Amino acid sequence: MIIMKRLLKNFFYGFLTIGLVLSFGHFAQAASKSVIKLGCAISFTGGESRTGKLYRDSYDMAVEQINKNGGVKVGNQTYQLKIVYYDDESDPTKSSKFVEKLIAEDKVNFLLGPYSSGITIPDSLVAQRYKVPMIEGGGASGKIFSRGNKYIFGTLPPAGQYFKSTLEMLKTFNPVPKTIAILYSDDKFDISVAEGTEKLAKEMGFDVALYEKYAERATDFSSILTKIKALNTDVVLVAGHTEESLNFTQQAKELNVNPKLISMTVGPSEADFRKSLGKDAEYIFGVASWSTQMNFKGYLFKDTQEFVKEFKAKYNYDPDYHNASGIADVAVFKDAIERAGSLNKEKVRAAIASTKLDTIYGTVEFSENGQIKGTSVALQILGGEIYQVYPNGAKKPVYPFPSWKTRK
Amino acid sequence: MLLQILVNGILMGGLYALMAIGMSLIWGVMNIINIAHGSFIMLGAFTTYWLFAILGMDPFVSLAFSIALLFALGYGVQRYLINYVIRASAFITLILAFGIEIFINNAALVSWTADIRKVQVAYGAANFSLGNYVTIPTIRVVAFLLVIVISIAFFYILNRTNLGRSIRATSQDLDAARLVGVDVAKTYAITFGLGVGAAGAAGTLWSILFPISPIMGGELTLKSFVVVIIGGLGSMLGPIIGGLALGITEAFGTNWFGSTYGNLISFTILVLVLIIRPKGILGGAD
Amino acid sequence: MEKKKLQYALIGGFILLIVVLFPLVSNNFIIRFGTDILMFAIMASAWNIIGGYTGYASFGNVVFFGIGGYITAILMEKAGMHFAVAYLAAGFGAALFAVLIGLPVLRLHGHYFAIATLGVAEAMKALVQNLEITEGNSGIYLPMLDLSIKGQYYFFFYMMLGTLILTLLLTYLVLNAKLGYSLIAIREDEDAANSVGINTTLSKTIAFALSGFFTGLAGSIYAYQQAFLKPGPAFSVQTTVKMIVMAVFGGMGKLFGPLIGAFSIEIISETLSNYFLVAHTLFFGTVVILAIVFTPKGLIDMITQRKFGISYFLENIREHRI
Repeated sequence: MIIMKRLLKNFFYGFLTIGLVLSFGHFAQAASKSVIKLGCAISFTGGESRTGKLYRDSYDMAVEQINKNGGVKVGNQTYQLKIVYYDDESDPTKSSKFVEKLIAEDKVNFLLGPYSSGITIPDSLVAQRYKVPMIEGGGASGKIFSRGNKYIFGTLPPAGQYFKSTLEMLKTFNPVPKTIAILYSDDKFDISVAEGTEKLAKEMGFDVALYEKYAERATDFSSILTKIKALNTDVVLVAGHTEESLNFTQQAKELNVNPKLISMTVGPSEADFRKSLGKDAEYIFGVASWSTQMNFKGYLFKDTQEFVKEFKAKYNYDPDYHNASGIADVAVFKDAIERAGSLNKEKVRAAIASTKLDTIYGTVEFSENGQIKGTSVALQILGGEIYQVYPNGAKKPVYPFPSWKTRK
Repeated sequence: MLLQILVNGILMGGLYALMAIGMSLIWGVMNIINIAHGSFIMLGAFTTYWLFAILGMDPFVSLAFSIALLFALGYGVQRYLINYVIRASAFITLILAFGIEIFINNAALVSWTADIRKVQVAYGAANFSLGNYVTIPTIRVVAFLLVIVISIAFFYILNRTNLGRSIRATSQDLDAARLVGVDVAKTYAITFGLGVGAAGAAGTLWSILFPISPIMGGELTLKSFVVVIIGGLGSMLGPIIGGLALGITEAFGTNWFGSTYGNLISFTILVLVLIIRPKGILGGAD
Repeated sequence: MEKKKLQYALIGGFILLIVVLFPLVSNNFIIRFGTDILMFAIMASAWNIIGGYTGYASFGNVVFFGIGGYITAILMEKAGMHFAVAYLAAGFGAALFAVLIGLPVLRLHGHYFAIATLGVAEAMKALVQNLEITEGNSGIYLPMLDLSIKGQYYFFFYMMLGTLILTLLLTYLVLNAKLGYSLIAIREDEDAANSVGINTTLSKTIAFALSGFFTGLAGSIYAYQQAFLKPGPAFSVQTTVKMIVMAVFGGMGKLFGPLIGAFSIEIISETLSNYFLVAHTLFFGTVVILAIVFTPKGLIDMITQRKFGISYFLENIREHRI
């Protein structure tokens, strides 16, 4: 019996300790009343942590800007915004768990999205379950919006139209390029980009000579590049991620593959890409829903140029469309809450759905399914900087590429 | 085009071989599967990156530093960490290596952030042509030659020196080796150091060819596994054979089936090789 | 002897009662957290059957988790079947896969077996990424459970709990049957086991299939709970490693070892991530390293032997160092 008593005592202490640990969250909740809490489970560590940081920087900056300029006005009361973060370790299971924690324990009012479509989907399902509106700037896959989930809103434009401006630009060149190679990573977003682009290209009379998928996070592109070289296509369009774009470009030079134009969805617009490749990044085209050359009247900031300047001063790198999209997410929340005149989740949800807001990211308006209406522009790296070249370019596009061997 | 694919495969295979050579040594001699291998490659790559970014040191000069630094690190890790559990079951060392991997990756993540970095040398993408059909990236050829040099160096150390005799004796019979006066703990530490040093060399070359980040290690560990298994343990030729086999099959496989099939091909080969020839293509000694 | 058994039964019943009642007094997140702990407890216990008792270090057990999840997803989403059907199909499907893959792979020993199973899991991930029916790398939705919020949490918690109890109960029964002795004989010396007439192939395959069965069940519940699956996370090596770390941390080859391991590891990592937004994984790595160096026999060894403190740690080090 003594043994049993001791065991029971041990168990008792064990449970006490665990109970204390678990209830810590409850004690931490006692916060002041005039704060609107936005919850965000996003990648601080793991595979998506680099892009996760782009969104965090923007979210933080937008919130700081709002709080500095009087906060959010609901009726007669003003609220400060506060973001509660958790690290999802780039793992969708963890991410959805933390979203549940944000809602159940931290009692956040609204949710900001994580980065990447694969993580956004499980998170959006939790938002739907609890009927808490979530605005995300990091998932453009149509799959997120395909299930009639009324609580998720996205500020990246639909993937299928991504290369539309680029294809239109090709038509303005003399001679007009004929053959196109479309390469895409096998994640949902890039598949949608490729499918949309192939359809558009065929409608516009281009010959899609190569249409090939590669594995997400691939490092070696020599096999694809060898095919491109053999087919000698005029134009190469790549829908992938920064690392892949970097590898592709470097290896194109290694293997001396010289198409007349290379354009990539993710990469060229980021400062990292240009810093990493140096001169080899020159002349590469990109597409983006946004560029630093645009100038929109802002909501939180005076205009796009003002934002770019302040952002650079604060974080010491050039913002790209990820950052701008993140700013828009927070701006939409402020606007929608103020229009709703309440913190009621249903009312705010309805207000978000009817958003029509000028931001530094452009005019934000959501389609029926919750995804932003928008288009994209063609960019090109010229002299180490990224310029919008079509439509209404700040500079004229350079076409065709000088071959690798002839460059200085 | 077929010739170009073959060349691509062979050169990639050389890099795979260099990645795997250290893992093969540690596994063969000490029966430790070093899950943290990829993380050590990452550290080697970052050593080169920082020496380049801060001092402007050429990667081929910093190669010596990253080997030396990683050797010291490996020696220390074995001597003051793994050594404490070396006689526990094989799982234990496996999990310890896993803990080390998490530690290294996240220490790197915390101190250097997850930014992608690149060693930007002028000759990074240099190449030359053979005839009209084949373009050969110079750095990959150099990497390939380096693998051969390092393999020969390892072969020499293992077969022609007293140290090598101690290592081999320890790997065959730990107690007997101790009886004849081998300092087993030290021998193990040196072996581990050599293996990790080779990972450092692989990291340096990797950093010239590919962008690097603190989270790059996991994939590389998996690739190294495949190479070690295909080549088989117990000989210095193993990793080279394994690396080439993997490089060439991947190059042709992805060309025929499409690029998303790369991993499917490598891991199917891995399983098949294990089932049919568990000791690897060469079928080296146990 | 009788009295001792009674005591254990009492304590066990007491703990079970607490666990069963616990969701009724907790908020949703804590129930979800508990559900995750139970899920890992199932997987670590299932791993224990093949890794702990039989001595075959499977490094690819996540393959059963992924298969269970994907069977559930396909049956529910594409064939419109009920979860109950999908749940059973997931378990048996994973078990069948374990038999098919086990026949060739279980002939390998030691590290070779470990790597072969790892290869199977990685190859399966790559296959699922390329298949049409699994919707490739972009992931697949599942229908959502149509219950109130609280109801959903209860449902998944008690499904996991039931599955865990089933796992432990069946493992207990198997261990005390002839098969259990065969497995331990195989772990201690397979050749000797063979020579005394134990059908080692059959025993190993059954153990592997059981391991797959329970892991598949866990995968099935997980998929339904998440309502979305993607190949990368579903077949992640990290999940296998987590099972093994939990089993070793708690105590391999002991019935309750993995359970204790899952419980403590999840609590530790959750606590760390509450306090350190970025560095928590770094500290987690440190905890794993220290735990392995100081308590390689697992927490359960500490608990049952009631040995704590420096001298126990040093004893372990002396025992295993050179």
